[in-house]
Amino acid sequence: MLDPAVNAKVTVQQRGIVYVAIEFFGDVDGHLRPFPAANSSSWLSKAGGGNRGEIIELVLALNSTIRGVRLSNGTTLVVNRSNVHGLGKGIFTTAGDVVEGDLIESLGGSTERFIDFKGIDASFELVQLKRVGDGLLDRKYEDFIFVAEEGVTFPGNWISDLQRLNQIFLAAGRPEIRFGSVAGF
Amino acid sequence: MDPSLFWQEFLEEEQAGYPRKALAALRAGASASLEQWLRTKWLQADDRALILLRELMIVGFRTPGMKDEFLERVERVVRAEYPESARSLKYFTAWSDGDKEAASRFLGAEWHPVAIGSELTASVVVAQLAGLARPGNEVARKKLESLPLLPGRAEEERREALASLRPLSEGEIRELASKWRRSRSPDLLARLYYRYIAAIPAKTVKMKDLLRLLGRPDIGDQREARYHPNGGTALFLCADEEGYVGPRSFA
Repeated sequence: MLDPAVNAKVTVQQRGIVYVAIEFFGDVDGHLRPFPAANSSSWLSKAGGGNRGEIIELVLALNSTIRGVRLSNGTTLVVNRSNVHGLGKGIFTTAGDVVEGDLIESLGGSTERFIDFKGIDASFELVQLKRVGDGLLDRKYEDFIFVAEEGVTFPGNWISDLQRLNQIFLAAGRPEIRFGSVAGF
Repeated sequence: MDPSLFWQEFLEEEQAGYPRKALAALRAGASASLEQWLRTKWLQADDRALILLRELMIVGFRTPGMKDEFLERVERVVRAEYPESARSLKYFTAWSDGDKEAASRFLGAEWHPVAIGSELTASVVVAQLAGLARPGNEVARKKLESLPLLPGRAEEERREALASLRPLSEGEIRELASKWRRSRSPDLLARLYYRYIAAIPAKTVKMKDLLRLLGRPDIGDQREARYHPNGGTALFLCADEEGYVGPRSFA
């Protein structure tokens, strides 16, 4: 459930991205892309093969865009905007979570290739999240984390909406939405 | 991985909320012995085993025939108890993860709606039906429509879901697209995507026609195009080999 302390305070005292969720699709002709193409599938479903690593730190830019990620296998990814190619939503996890399969495979060999860890406007995403018609309970919504830039305040109705969504998620056997923080750099 | 130790850790973590670490460990180190151990839990009707078995199923059971056995048991519970029992709601999720087509057929076509007293149960039913109806599943949409009056907020959630699932008319699509081209508003693009673009059946709309509707893409052409609204999520479109709208994503 929501952390009562965060809930009560509402403001998250961290610099960082505003909202993240897991949604990666796998490898299409060698590149990570978000397309649900016939020969790709969610990287989450591809566990069991390939390299694995643990995200130990997200590197964030002041403009709320994730600029890179450090992995426990020693790789540090640095996103180079001039090389942006595919991903819309970016890294959708937090320190300590495990990433696996295609993601690490693809990231491991390069520090700047075809990766776009892009920040997302929070209010817009919340609108999407609320749309139960959009497959809210689909497996792709594996992990919701809300963090905010320093000083940002979540509107009160967000909190009640998210609490409601949490109830639905848990009753349906899905992970709850979390409020959290991401270490800045 | 020692199954009993794993189980103990799982239970401890479960007390504190959703067992994320246990699930991550499962994905990283599933084994046939763990599967068999969890299977005994399952046979003892320990519902907590469900969540782990579901994860193992998605990762891919090592034990031959286990997926079928698991899904048969899940289906049996859903058919007997949905949506009255709390576990049946979770079992439906597992069924849908393992065999979306069968779960969809059950809920959309075979299940007879009953009066639902619990607001939360009703909300989950709405979300599950709406999820099935999203790709243009008219049967599921009609079932959602036919539910008896729902308690509390669930009724409002049903109305919202139905509004978002109603197909747009050609005029509405053109009007929405025209507004999108002028404003580049992410919300308008989202509406276009979820209520029209996402549901375009294969081999029905040419990519060039869709691009004409949406305006010049920020990047790409008739084979592959990207739209970046003013803030928010980006739309990705790919044409198939015959030039029809193919893989697409709003991410």
